[in-house]
Amino acid sequence: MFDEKPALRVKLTFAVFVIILGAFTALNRVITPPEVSQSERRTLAAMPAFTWKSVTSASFMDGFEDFAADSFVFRDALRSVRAATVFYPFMQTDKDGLYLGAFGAGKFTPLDETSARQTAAKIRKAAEALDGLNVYYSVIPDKSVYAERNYPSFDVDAANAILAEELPEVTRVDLYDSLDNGSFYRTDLHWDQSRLSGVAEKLGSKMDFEYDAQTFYSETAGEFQGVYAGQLALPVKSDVLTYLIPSGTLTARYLNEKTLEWEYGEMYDLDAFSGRDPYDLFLRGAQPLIVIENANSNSERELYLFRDSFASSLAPLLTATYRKITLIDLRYINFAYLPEFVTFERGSDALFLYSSQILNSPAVLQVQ
Amino acid sequence: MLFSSVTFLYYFLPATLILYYLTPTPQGSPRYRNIVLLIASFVFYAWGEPVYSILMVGEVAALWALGLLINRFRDRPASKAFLVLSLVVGLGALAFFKYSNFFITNINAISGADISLLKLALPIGISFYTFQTLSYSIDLYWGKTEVQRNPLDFACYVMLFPQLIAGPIVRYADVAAELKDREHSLSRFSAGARRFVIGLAKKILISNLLGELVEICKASPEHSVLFAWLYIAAYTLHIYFDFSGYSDMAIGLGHILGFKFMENFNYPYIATSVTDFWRRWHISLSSWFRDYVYIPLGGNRVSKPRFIFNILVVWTLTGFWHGADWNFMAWGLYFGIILLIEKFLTGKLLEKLPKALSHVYVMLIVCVSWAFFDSPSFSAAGAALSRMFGFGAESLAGTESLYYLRSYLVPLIIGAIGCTPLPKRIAEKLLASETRLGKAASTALEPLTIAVLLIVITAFLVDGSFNPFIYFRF
Repeated sequence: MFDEKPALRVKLTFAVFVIILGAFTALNRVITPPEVSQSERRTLAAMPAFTWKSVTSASFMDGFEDFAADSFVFRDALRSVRAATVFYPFMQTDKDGLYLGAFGAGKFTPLDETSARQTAAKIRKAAEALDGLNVYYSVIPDKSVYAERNYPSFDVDAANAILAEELPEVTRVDLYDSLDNGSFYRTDLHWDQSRLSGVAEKLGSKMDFEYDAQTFYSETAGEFQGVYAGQLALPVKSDVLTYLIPSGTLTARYLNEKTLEWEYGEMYDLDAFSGRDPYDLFLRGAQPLIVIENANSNSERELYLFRDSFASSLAPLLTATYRKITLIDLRYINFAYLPEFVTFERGSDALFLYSSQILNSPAVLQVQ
Repeated sequence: MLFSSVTFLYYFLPATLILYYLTPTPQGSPRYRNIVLLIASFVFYAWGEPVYSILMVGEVAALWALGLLINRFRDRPASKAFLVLSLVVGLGALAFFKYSNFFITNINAISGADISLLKLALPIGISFYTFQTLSYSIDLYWGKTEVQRNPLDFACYVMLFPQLIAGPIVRYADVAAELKDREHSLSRFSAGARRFVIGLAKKILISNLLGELVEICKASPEHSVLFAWLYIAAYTLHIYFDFSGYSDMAIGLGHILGFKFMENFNYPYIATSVTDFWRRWHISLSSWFRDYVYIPLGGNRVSKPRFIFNILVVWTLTGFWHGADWNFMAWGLYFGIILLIEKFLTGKLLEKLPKALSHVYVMLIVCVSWAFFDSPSFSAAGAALSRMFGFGAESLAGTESLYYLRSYLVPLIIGAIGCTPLPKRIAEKLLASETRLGKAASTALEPLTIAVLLIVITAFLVDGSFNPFIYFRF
């Protein structure tokens, strides 16, 4: 079985094995790994502390496994190799739930009915506390709903049925028909603000206002690769981020989570466009409380928008209708603490606007 | 530590190989290299089981000492007593850690008692290394092998990291000579590297992918006929590539380190009878039960009722070895009964059947067995099997099952072809080519394949998270 004079093939196999193992091993020791993965938008695992306790409890070993994978040289290139293998030789239609279709990249988020009921119960509890307000709710269907056929996508009908059952006293605004596969960025999970006229009009039809797209003018921030492009690790045509500027003088103030003081700032943070998540251009990304006021508005109406990140790009479109919009993200502020910062004016509107991801994740909403 | 991890491939293995090959072999003796292997194996095991590594060291020390005593009192009654003590130590640890809660649960169920379950984690690989040590004690008592006086060499045999936690179940007699003197050569290293990479590819590129499909099928709310078939097809291939991939890696690493371990699989899914299947599946386990349980019980040189009893005992134990639950025992018993049916009723008929029909028969029997093997209860297994034939299914196919059939079709086809000897035959034909072009191609093909596989495997290890080993729980 084992020749005394090995053939060239045998020598080459030996060399290939030793060189690949040796080269990767050596490079991993020599090259300092980055702390953050820009493409995955996450902090990479660091070397765990080596202590007696961490070793005997095996937490050091678990941490080291994560560190070894996260700090591997050419990580992004290797992630692309895996993605290419999954999509081409194996001809799979998704990688870890991420698909690449004619309308860009997306991720399957099937409806979790139990979670949806729990989320609805939290919305009901919050809505019941908003005494004297006109309360509405709306679910933003995941973009996979509009992707090519046969993807196991979010079940909008089932979600609507659950919400209708759990929230009988709250008015539903169905956005399904107001969106299509072009309403979302190709490389990101979010919708594109420049394609939300239909959504604003639909909200207006239910909440009694008229949306006029002519009162906005657009600016382009530039090209960007969204979160799905990074997770997919395959070359995907970039999106262009266009933002709409309303007429009139607007002020935006943000509640600083640490100091609990209000800070004034721009509605569109152009510096954030070159940060980790370009979508943070809209209202600075994750914020517990934001108040936008339009001094030139003819209306006296106020809106309390209970929301996730999708509303960051929608809210500016509603500033012509509402003199004051308060955006409340219950992932970052507890509903019970709101009276310290927000006075709910009777007769105003309240809209619970959540994406399908939130519907599937009741634990993130701080409503007890 | 998993073979299929960045830590093993790019930290542990290079460090171990460098230390191993830098260690001198005075007069050709690998005794220092055995010490390197022993230390490396301890680190390998302690990486996943820091506390239980002490248990294993204790067990190894006890069984080594008892081996000395079995040998010292050879042909005297004390020798048998020390053998029994060895069995008590080995099987006692296995029974305590693996089967205590099974017995407590059943005692509680029968008697209405309320004995608390033990909060014990199963030491990884305990079923494998216990059977290895038992083979040493029994063979020593029978005089089939010589005593190992060097505790480090004995520990090296038991703890040898390539086969420590998921086999093959290597018998001491098979490696005793190699512990004293073994061949290291470029050819052997190269063959080992090739085998290791192929095993890793089977595990990472096929088994893990199909394992994902298995989990999807189990988690889906869609109860369709198509999903039931997808589940069983995926699981059938997943378990084969998982376990045979691990065995390939173990055998390959053995070659790299100068050891020759027994083959554990021989294309079991091309078997033409269930008897044939068990000659090809987990060979080291079935041959262990044959030599240490079946033959001592009398084998087939006994009366028919006794033979039936022997077969049923052996196969119930085989099932019980796989897991401390009734469904594993039922799984073993199921095979025992089918083997008896083949022996007394259908054996001759199967020989006359066209091969294609025999394969269909074996695959049906095996697929049904996997439903029991993977199910948490009889009723769950029954439901999964019923759905395959339309009973209890909500539809023939749904959006989800059709989607996943399309998504996993190529991995399923690769798996179905890969579990036959076809790829090996094609490779052998290419390597045997006599033309100049053919020779050049065959020279380049193997190293190129190994390079591509290693890089793709690394990519999956760096970016993947789904990486279980089915046989680790045994």
